[in-house]
Formats: sequence, C-alpha cells, structure tokens
Amino acid sequence: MNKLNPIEDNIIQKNQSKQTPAKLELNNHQINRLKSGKILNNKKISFKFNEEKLQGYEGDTLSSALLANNKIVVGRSFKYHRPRGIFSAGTEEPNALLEIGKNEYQEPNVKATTIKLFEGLESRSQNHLGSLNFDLLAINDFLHPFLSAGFYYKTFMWPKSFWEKFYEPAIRRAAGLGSLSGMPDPSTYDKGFLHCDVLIVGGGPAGLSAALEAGRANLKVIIADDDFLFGGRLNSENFIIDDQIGSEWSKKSVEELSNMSNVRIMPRTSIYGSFDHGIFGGLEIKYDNYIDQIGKPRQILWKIYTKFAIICTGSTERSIAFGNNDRPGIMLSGAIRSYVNRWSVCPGKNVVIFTNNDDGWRTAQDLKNKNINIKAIIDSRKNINLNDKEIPIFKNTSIIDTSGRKQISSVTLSSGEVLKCDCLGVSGGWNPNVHLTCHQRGKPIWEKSINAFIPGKTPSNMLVAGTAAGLLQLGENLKSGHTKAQQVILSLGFKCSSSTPPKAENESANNSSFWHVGASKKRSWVDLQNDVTTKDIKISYEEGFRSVEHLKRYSTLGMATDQGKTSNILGLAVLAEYSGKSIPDTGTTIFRPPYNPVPIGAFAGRSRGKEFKPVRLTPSHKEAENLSATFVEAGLWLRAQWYPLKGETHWRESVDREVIQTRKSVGVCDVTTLGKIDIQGQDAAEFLDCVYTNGFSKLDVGKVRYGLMLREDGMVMDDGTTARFDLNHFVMTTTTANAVNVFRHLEFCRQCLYPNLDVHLISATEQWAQFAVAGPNSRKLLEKIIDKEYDISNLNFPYMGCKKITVCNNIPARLFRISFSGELAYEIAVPSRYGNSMFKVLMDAGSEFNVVAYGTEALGVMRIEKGHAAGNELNGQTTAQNLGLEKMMSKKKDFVGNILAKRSELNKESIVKLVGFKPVNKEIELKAGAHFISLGKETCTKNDEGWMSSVAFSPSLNHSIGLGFIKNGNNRIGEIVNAVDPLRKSNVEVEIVSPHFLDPEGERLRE
Amino acid sequence: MNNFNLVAEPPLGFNQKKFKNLILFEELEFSLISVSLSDNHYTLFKKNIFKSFKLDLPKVGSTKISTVDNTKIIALQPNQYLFMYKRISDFPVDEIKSNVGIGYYSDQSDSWSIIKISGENTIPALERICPIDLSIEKFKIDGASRTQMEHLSVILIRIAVNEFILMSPRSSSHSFYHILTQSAQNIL
Repeated sequence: MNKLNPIEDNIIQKNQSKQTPAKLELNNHQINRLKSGKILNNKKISFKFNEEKLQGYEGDTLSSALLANNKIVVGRSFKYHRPRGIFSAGTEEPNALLEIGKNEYQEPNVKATTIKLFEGLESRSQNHLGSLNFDLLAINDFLHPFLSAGFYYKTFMWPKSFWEKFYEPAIRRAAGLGSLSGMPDPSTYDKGFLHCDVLIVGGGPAGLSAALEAGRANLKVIIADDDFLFGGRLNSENFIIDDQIGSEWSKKSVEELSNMSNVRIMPRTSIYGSFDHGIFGGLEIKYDNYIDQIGKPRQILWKIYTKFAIICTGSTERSIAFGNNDRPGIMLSGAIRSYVNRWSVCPGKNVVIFTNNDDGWRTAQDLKNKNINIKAIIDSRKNINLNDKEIPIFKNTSIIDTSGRKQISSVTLSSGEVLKCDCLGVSGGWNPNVHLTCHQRGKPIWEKSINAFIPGKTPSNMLVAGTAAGLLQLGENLKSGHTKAQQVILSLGFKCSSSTPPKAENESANNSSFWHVGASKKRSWVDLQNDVTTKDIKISYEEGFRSVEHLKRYSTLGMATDQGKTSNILGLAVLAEYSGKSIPDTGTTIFRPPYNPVPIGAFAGRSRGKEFKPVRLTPSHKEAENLSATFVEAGLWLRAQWYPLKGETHWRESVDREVIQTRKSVGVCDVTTLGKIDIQGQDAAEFLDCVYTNGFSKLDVGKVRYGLMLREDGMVMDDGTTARFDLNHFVMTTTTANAVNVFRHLEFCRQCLYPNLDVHLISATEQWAQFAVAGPNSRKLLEKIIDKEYDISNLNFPYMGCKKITVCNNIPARLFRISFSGELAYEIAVPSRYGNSMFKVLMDAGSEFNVVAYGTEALGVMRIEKGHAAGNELNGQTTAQNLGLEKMMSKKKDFVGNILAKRSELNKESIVKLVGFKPVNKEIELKAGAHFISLGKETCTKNDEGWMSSVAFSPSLNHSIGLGFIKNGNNRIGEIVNAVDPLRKSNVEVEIVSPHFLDPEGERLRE
Repeated sequence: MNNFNLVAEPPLGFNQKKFKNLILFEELEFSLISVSLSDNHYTLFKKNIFKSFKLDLPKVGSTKISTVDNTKIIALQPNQYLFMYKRISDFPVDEIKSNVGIGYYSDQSDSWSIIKISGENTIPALERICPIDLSIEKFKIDGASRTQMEHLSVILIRIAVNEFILMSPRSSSHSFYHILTQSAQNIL
C-alpha cells in the first residue's frame, strides 16, 4: 500500500453505544463527530429525524448528519422488517431510504446518502408498523422460512376469493417503500436542452482530468456529477495529486474550470441515460430544500446533445455475503472511509474490517490514523504480504455470523473466534459503473484482473476513463482521463494543450474472487434493499429460474431504487457458483435507463394541469367572452359552444334558441378553426384531382366545390370545400380536427406521389378569421358591411361562389357562398387582426335582424338536421359508399384511395349506409352509440346491424333525431328497428328515414 | 363609405415585459409574405430581388436585410422565402409582387405573433425550451431556423448575440408567451 497522509483529527467526544433519547429537544451532541473535516465548515444546520431535533453542519449529507448523531438504525428492511442502518455513502444506498418533507411536500424513498443537509429538513424512517424501534411487522423475520423467493406464488392459494379481497391488499400494505402524500406535488420542474462538444460524466479524478484538458483545448465542455461536491472519491481519501491532497487538487481544478467560459460545470446532475445520436439525459437537482424553492423548479431534466462523451462514472464497492451481514453498523468499507475523511464522522469506536482485497486495508489505515480503534482486519485471502503491527490480522479467515439486533455487537469468525465490535466495514471489491456504456445495448465484459465487469464495445463517440474503465488505481485513472480527452480533442480537429496529466502514485489494488462465505449457516444477504439472500438465489435456481434475467424477476434481486448497484454482481456470482458456470457465462441483466431514479414530475416538467398542452384561441375569443360564451375544447382549440342569455338555465335553451333564430333570421358562428390551405402552382388543379375523389380541374374561377378525400386504403379521410380564386390558386378548407393531418397528407402526396407537379402548399389557417353567416337574412346583413362595389345578389354571387372582396372601408376579405346549416349562408374571412372586431361588427350590423351568435352545439344540430356528415361519420372507418357519396368517386381519373376503395367487401349490397333515424315515440331522446337490431331479434353481436353516429334534439322538428349507419339502410326507409344501448340500458324503437330532415331539395341555400 | 369599421388587434398586446436581464417585446405592424418558387423561377427571382432590394438571396437557414427599405428576407427551406417589413397597407402581397413579379405568394402577416427577446439571460431562458444549439458559433447572427418549443412551432431569427426574434402561430401565442415568461422566471 502506498503511504497515506493522516489528518490530525481526534474523536472529540467518546462514542456511546446506545442512542440518546432526546425527543423534541435539540440534540446538539453529534457524538460521532470528529474535530474537523475536509468539507465541513462551522455553520450548524438543524434538522429532524422522526420528529427528533438534531444538528449537522453545512456540507453534510443527511446520512453523515444522522451518523454524527449516532442514528444507527434508520429504517426497516423491505420484507423481513429487520432493523437497517446506513450502508454506503452514495447513490448505491440500499438501506437508508427515508421520507422527507411533510404533507404535500412529502417524498418517499429518498436516499439519505444523497440529500444535502439543509435547515429545517424533516425526515422520517419508513416501512414499519409502529415505531422504528418497535416494528410490529418484524414478526416477518421470525416467519422467514415461509417468505423465501417467490413465496407469494406458492402461498395464499386458498380460498381463491381471498386473494383479491384479503391477501393482496394485506401484502401490499405490509410491503412497499414509503408512501406518497396523495396530494398534488407543489414543487415545479423544468426541462432544458444543452449542447456541447464533449460531455464528461463524473467529476472524480478521471473526469476532472479530462475536463481540464478538454477545457484548455477550448472545447465546449459539460462536466456533470451526482454529488454537490466535485472530486468523487478524492473527497473521501487522502491521496496526493501533484503534491497536494486530492480534495485540494479537485477544488483547484474546479476553480480553473469555472474560469473557462467554454466549460459548464453541473454539480448535482445525474446523467441517468445514454441514448442514440449522442443524446444523454441529465437530472439536475436545484433544490433539495423544499422549503425555499420560492416557485423555482426544484429539478431540471436536461436533454444533452454531445459530439463525444467521456464516461468517468467511477466504481461502486460491493459487499460479501455472510451470515447476518445486514445488521445496522455493517457498512461498505469505502463508505466508512468517506464518512471519516469527508464528513468527520466516525460510525463506530470499535471497528472490524472484513475484506477480500487491499482496499479494505486502506480503511483500517485511515481510521487508525484518526485514533479510531480497529479491532481486527479479517482478510479472506491466504497469501498476502500486508501487515500491521498494531492491528490484529486474520488471514485466510472469514466472518460466518454477526450478532446485535439494532447495532452490530460482535462477529463470529470462521475460526470460531468471536470479536466484539460496534461497526463492521466490508469490502468485496469494486465494480466499475458501466451502466451508461450499456444503455445502447453495449455488453460489459469480464475483467479477471479486477474480478469485475468493464465496458465492452461502446458507441464510437463514447469513451470511458478512470475506474469506470476498470483502472482502479489513481495514477492510471488520472492519466486515462487526460488521454481520452486528447483523443476527443484531436477527433474534433482541435489542438491539445501542452499540459501533462496530473500525477499520483498507483495504490495497491490486489483483489480476489471471494463472494460469499459458504460456511455460514445463517441467512446471508445479497440484496439488502429487496431482502434477497443467497438461499433465495439457490431456491430460484433450483426452481428453474436459471437465467440471470429470470432470477431478477423471480427473486426481485437488483430491483427498486438502487437497481442492485451493490448486489447485482454479487448475486450473479452466487448464481454462477450454483449453476457451475463462470461469471461471464452467467452474464448480467440488461442495464437500462435511468441509472438513478428520476421523479415522474421531472419527466412531466411544466406539462401539468393547464400547461399540459398549449391552447389555441380564435381571433374573436375576447368578443365571444363578452357574449358570455361557454367554451369547449376542439383539439387544442377553444371554441364557443353556446352563448347563454340571462335567464337561460340549461344549455338546451341556449342551443335551441340559437338554431331557431338562425333558421328564422340570421346567426353568426366563428369557423376560424377549420383548416385553410393555400394551394398554388401551375399544376394545382391537377393535384386536387389526385387528392380528391371528384374532379377540380374544370372548376371555374370564382367557384367552390365540395370535395371528398380518401386515404390510400380507400377509407374516407376528410371532406371540405375548395375554392378557386385564380387559375392557379385554390384555397382548401378542412375539418378542424383534420387540419394538420390533411396538410401532412397533401405534403406527402406532393413530395412523394406527385413530385413532378408544380404545386406549393402553405397553411393559411392562422391568417384568416372566418365566420359563417347563416339564415334567410344573412345576405342583408353582409350587404351592410361589404364595400359597395361588390354585388352579392343571388344572381351575381350564386350558391357555391367565392370572391375576394373588401369590407368596412377597404379591409381585404374572402367571401364564400357555402352552407353547413342548410340555410342561405356565407362564410366571410378577414385577416386575423380584424377578427375580433369583425365578430362585433357582424353582431352590430345584424342587430336589426335580431342576429344571434351561435356555437358549435347549434352548428352540430343544424348539420344533423341537414344530414351533413361530420367527425362522427368520418371516423376513419367509413367509405364513400357508406356515406352515400359513391357518385363522387370519379371514373374518369385516378385519385388517392381509388384502387382499394374498389375492394369487393366495401362494395357489397349489404354494407352499412348513412341514413336518418327518428324515434317512434317522439318524447324519447335518442342516444349516440346505440346499435341497431331488427325488431323481434335478440340483442347480440350477431344481430348487430349498425350504429347511431350522431344525435341531436331538433328544435325545428321538436323531437330527437339521429344520423347513423345501418346495413342496406338506403333501401329500408320507413322500417322500424330497435336502437339498443346495453351500456346505458336503453332500447328505443326508431324509424329509418332520409338523413335530410330539413329542406331535402336544398331550396333554402340557393335562395 | 361603409358605416362599419374594423379595428386591428395585436396577437398579444403586452407591448413589453421586463425581467432581470431579459426583455420580451411584442413586435407589431409587420407584414410577412411567403414566396414559393418553382424550379424555373429561381434565376429570374434572384435577379429581381437584387434589382429591387439590392441584395443576394440568403442561404437556407439565414436572413438578409435590404439596405433599400429594411426588408428582411428569411430563407427557411429551398425555394421558399419569407419577406418581413414594416406594414404599409393591408395588401402586402400586391406590394411584394409588384417588386418581384415571379413566384407564388401568400400573406402570412396575421399568422404569426412576433416577440423579440433580448438581454443577458436570453440564452439561459431559451435553453429551457429550445432544442437548437444557440451558441454563437453554431447559430450565427442573422441565422434563422424553424423549430418547436413546448410543442409549438417557432421560427427563430438571431439578430444579435443576445437578441432573437421568435415567431409563433398567432392562435397559440398566449401559450407561447406564457412559456417564455415561465422560462424567464425559472432561471432567475
């Protein structure tokens, strides 16, 4: 081992073996705190654990502060409810999962090892019934013979009905990890996008070394680390780099990087996933402190686009499985070193180290340098040259059992000797954190020299440096960061700096493949978070779950918040041993994002509540509000649904009034939301012939035609009118719902199907505010606002005409004589900036006719009365034949959907046809969605003849009416059938009628 | 003389909103004309543009401003240009057409809400919503691009290191404005 530099710290207060009961009174003792540390300053911070007031220091994590206050038991285990203590010092923590915050801020399963201590933090242990010290569910520990892997598949089988009613709810209540508040999360979250030449994942020695070189070469660099302090293990060790303590070197490195404008330093940012095309996901924690968020996002989810990535994610220490190796006070050996060196916290005063590698010895050395009593070093290896005259050494020895319910009190060695202790450090070796290198299906490879997996083939723009690459010694670690950065620099055509890699000695890192103590008769934990033992792995294997993926699902090994960071390799090593395979042959489970848990709130970002999606408002929205409109969502649009007048208490009153008044005099409806597509070009007419079933090339300038559009499969896609303003200029109108789809379809047709046609498309939906003016007085109303030079008489502007005009003293407008209501009607469009004013002017000009504003509901009623198909009928499952529009399918030209529309099944006599329906008993209300069954036949799928697609109460006819599809409908006019709605338990006799309930000859609209 | 008059209203009407080191400003009274060209139009179009505006056509992804009348020509895709200039009348297509003559024109003046964003916090604010790399090396002054921000289509034009024009569809401009103000608040 290289010589370590002791820091002259001393224990300032004697450790105490029992926790101090100081409920509700400030416990300022921090009895496990050493005199000084690398990071801590003197600023005290108050916090609570299980309602007990405690103190820590700025720079503490919650776990270091808890340990300083001698909180050894911090939770209960998942299945057996055994007392559990802090096990690690980082994101790999399987035990110390706490709830923090209260009420709406309550957050479960927070790793105490990753929370930066803040003033007022409230934390609670979880997963116990009763108090932490007296958990009633600890009875499970005594029942453990019945709770082995997959026990719930084998038990609770009888009586059958008990599973859903009793067993499952009871098991769910007993299991689980913490609870949510059940209230909306008041914190806000945000997202963002970052771009860089190189992303360096990890701010440890290799990461900093790489960042320094890349930054000096003027690359655009992002360096991110989970921790709030850069330096990684350097903050936990006493290594020397360039003649200075490692933590000082990292601090100076960060200072240098901070002064580079081309480097972005992102502490507290977990790079949780690596995705295609150099994209990485990062979660930045801005506030642990839920108290001081002041409306700012507490977390930001970054999408990072990078040309290269250097993965410097370090490594994670693993445990060794032996009897009762889960007791509070048993920790990873490296974690003990972190608490002592970084946070000046001594987790025990009589410490035993159990190791299979040299790293465990380093912990002993560091603790000894701080005058902490090392009771013994137990090393499983036989032939090692390490020795320490002051510490009892047990070579070729292992621990077979431990004792101490709420804190370890002794260990039993394989030699039979029992050693008293209050803390046990275990080191089973180090696993490179290969996760990010595997997210794009990279497979790690086994490296025998370190007995761990290292990254296999990575994407070409991903390099790996430091311990993540299996380089466990500091000197080579620093050098690899520097070298990988230089590779990136040269690849991007930049020039490397003249700097040399930081220098450090390579510490000894001998290790062995010793995984678990076979001689232990007691339960030996592999996965602390999920209470998986070596026996569970054996049972799983014996029951046929032999693939490591199956083992994971059956035993829950490696699941949940830690994703098996300390247990996976140990678990598969044990599996390999049972199966007689090698570890590489056994393989690993697939590593998938996220590396660390990401809150759903962060994925959602701002997209909550009303911000879930944008809202589109028509230009006349304000005027509609002035008219007290009730609005309805139509896609992203908000449309006026109806305009209630004072005294109207039911929507039907408003809608009936709007329909009656429109048909009697005149009504105005905002139809801006309909899609409007400008189609220009020498071949525009030919293009329309291709995309519509009916012809447009012979349409006269100044005329409008109704068109039917099919998909390639022959089903109806959309309908609408298209106006010809010029020889080479058309304006197509689409339904509101299909505006985007139709535009996309037209672009596809233009670019892919008919690339030789000279056609140009642009959406004009936003450009024009458009209003339907319908009713017998519509012409009179429009004549008041249209500039005098334009004649819109029936003679000079007949039905299906269109023209560019001016209104209200030379404001440009487009006028269409088309009707959806069946009345004499027009649609008038003005530039959107005049939309709000136009609505008001139309209402003012129409006052002498008692004009009424009508909404989408009245629009719907009138179109059903007229028998026009709309969204309910054009639902993507109907054909022109179903709609009775087969005559619109031109036989003189080809068009999209032509071939497949001719499929025989679509053209049978018995296909459903669009017809109208009215109730035999006119008092009864029809229901959309009802299915038609012939009279006297049983209500069953076999006898189903069609469905009711749209219904409305017709104020014109004073009864309910409907449109729907029924087999051979056009030949069954006058027949009575049942409209059956089993879901809403109704069965109504209806008469099949023409879909045109009003003015079937269309006389009104031509007046 | 018609008895009725129409009053023009801006998409947002907020004029100016200030945050720390960030200003949002609603640009009003602009005409925007889309001109689309057939393949055989290009040479003549280019010639006419130079004649009328004394400039060469911008490359796709960039803009150019005429020294004659400050008309900005924005090239977002091959054979399609957006002309932007201070509004003269309600008939901008006729205005441009009379100058250029060739191509297919569509008035887009009312299709977009135009917001200018400026100040030192411009990039940090846009970073939260804009997927494009806005570093000055990659997205230069006079650069132009279509993109999307929080599901909304946006045309982005850089006019200075920390100054951009953002054009978003008029109907959803209130949502877009909210997105921008939210970004401004989130970074401060």
